[in-house]
Amino acid sequence: MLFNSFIFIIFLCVVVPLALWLPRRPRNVFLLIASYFFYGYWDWRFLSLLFVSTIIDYVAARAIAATDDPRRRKRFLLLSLASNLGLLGTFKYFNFFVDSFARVAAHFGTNLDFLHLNIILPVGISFYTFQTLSYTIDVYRGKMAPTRNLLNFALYVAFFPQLVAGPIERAIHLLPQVENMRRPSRADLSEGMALITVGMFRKVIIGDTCGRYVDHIFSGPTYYSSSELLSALLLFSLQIYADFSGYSSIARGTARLLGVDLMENFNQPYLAANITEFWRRWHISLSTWLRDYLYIPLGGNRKGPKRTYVNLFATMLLGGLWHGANWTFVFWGGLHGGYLAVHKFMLKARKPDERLNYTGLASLLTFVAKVTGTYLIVLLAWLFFRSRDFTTAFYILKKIVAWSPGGFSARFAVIVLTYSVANLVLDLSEYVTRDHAFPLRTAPRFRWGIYLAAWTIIFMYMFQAKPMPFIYFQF
Amino acid sequence: MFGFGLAFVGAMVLLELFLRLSGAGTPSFVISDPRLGVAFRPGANFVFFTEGMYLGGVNKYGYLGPAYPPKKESGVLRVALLGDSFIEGFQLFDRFHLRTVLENELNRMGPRHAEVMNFGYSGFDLGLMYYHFTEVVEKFSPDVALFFVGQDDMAENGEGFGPIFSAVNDSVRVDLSFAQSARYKRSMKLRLVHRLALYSMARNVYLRVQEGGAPGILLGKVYDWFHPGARKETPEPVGGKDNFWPLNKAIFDALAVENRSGKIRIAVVEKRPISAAYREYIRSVGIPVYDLQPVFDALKQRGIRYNYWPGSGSIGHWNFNAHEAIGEYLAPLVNELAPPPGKPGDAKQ
Repeated sequence: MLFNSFIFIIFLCVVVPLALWLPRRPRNVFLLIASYFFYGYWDWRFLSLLFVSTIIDYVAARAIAATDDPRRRKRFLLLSLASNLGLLGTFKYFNFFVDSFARVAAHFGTNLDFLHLNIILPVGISFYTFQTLSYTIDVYRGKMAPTRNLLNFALYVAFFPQLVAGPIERAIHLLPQVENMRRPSRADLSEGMALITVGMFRKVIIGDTCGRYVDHIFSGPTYYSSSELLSALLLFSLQIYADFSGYSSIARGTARLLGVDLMENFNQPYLAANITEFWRRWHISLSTWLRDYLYIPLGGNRKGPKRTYVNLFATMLLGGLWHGANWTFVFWGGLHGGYLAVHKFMLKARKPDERLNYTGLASLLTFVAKVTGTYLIVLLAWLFFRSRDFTTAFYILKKIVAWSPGGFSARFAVIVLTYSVANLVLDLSEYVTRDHAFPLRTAPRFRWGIYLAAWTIIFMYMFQAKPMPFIYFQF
Repeated sequence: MFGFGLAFVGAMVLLELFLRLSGAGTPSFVISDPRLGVAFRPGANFVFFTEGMYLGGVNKYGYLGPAYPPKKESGVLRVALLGDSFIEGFQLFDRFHLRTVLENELNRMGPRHAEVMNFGYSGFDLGLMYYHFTEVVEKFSPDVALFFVGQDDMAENGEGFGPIFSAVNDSVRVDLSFAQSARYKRSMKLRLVHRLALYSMARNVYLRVQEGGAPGILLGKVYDWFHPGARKETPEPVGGKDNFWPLNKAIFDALAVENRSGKIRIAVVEKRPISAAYREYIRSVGIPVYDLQPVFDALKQRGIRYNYWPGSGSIGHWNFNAHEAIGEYLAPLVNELAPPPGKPGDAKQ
């Protein structure tokens, strides 16, 4: 079920009041059923994967906690890792590796195309796999005790607001909330409403409308001029941000309506003054997951500078692969790994700046220059992220560098500028108020007028256009 | 309440601005016209998304493409394209449209400078094309007019909000009574509101509701579960509609008269197949018929789907490849058809 569809809004209008009305225990049962309906609405067959993942991690975590024997504990951890990563590997990466291997084999005259499997990527598998993995690993590390209640654990895995595209919640944060599900306060409901409104606006009005330009231009780059290709790339950077941060806001807002607090996933990443800070602000739930379960176990920064750079690079390379089974994603991750390593080298022991510390015009200009520089290197990486293959990516890059303006340069400049300003207004509102539910900072009478206008246009757009899936659903 | 209203109106104004500048919403680019029913708004500039993406607008004379004035320069070869949404071509930029391809090809072939004008309009049937030809196109003194038709255009496509055509004593009769209708008068009153992007969005919603699409949009798959097949599109009728034959015959007869006058050469281009009876009759009155099927077959043989749009993943109107191939295919035919330079009466047979 897509958040940007009417059926989701109807679903929400049924589920939220019923969940509020039910006592705690039946409420969790009801929310679990609702979550399975939410997931099964897309394709009920893949519910089986969710069940398998839930049962294995529930059992594995209990078995880990039940013994002090390190070998036995490790065996159950490996069971969890192997089964989760096995599912992910089969459904997401099998064809990728097989096809890559087949291409190499074809150079030596061997045809291995028959190895390709005709399988569909289950929506959200990368998200819930990482979520359940973090639970078993945290239990193994002794950071938390396993839950005894299978129902609560199943709800933790399948909780519909964050099931298919995150935030990738840690059990240590979400599971206690599920176990002691509280009734939402008035403040929760207000905040939930504000987050959903902002999220829907970002997703539907900015992300989806931006995406139409991007999809058309990227599907036939040979037809477009340098300025049009550059515009498409700039618009993609806005689309993916609006799309994903919008989704995260809707997820957080929806959870808040049920009395659950999900972690922040975005924090105005395009206002980051350096690449390290960018990754502290972009897809926070994934970057912290990679830090805690990959970068630190690899040695983090504890084994000297050279090893730190290698660890950063390797972590981001795998982070790239997590995004999609394509070498362009790996390259995207590698680019970011390289950026981070270089920045780490430049920083030495210093801590990167986080926010603008205004001490005069010079400080503001320096900040703007840093933000622009960071954005540009992120933009370059987005080119590889969005292109279907390297040939397309390098074709676009070459054409942009060789610059020849087309007939619509001025019109596209206005389009890009308009989207940028819209995005910036929302980001600055969050940045200045330090609050994602910033509409709550306005007086209620103004707020409800703005809500009504926003929802009018959101509904009108949803009614006339086919809902665009969230970009991150494919991951 | 005042604060609420103020915030609402203020937000709506900002949203209107956003929609217009970003192209996320398109203000109406058509106007109600007492003669034509509907026409493009001269000077309208817009972004339009269907299967593809269109950026551009209507020129100051009210048609698509470069603004060639009614008065033709001497020695210029003018070609007018008439048709429905396939010719209108709101799926791709004008520079990829067959209009541009044809113009470039004709200019390359010489000897005359060519100007190709796009008078396509979504939903035009043969009657509306003919009427548009007599009322608008002829004022631009084209040397050649190409009518792009398929069998579906032989029937009335209009929504009943424009001229109604009938055949009386083998000639075409035009009924303009629509201009007296309450709907027309209402639309004239609201013509300023029509220029709001928000109004266009609201109207699209209204049209979707009118078409009966609301339950499917609101309930998604749940609607499909209870109404299997309800949202499947009904296939287009195949073959001619015989009750339109007298009217269409009268139109082709009238076009044949124009053709014989020597001032202009007219040809019919089969954008989709027309029935053999029509084809034979059109040819019998001296109007050439160009079949586009060989163009599409050639593209198919090269593995190109001529109506597939990868950007939206949909199948529909002609894509970039088709426009290019059609333009190249038509150029020598138009060159052959066009009256020789300086001798408007000496058209080749």
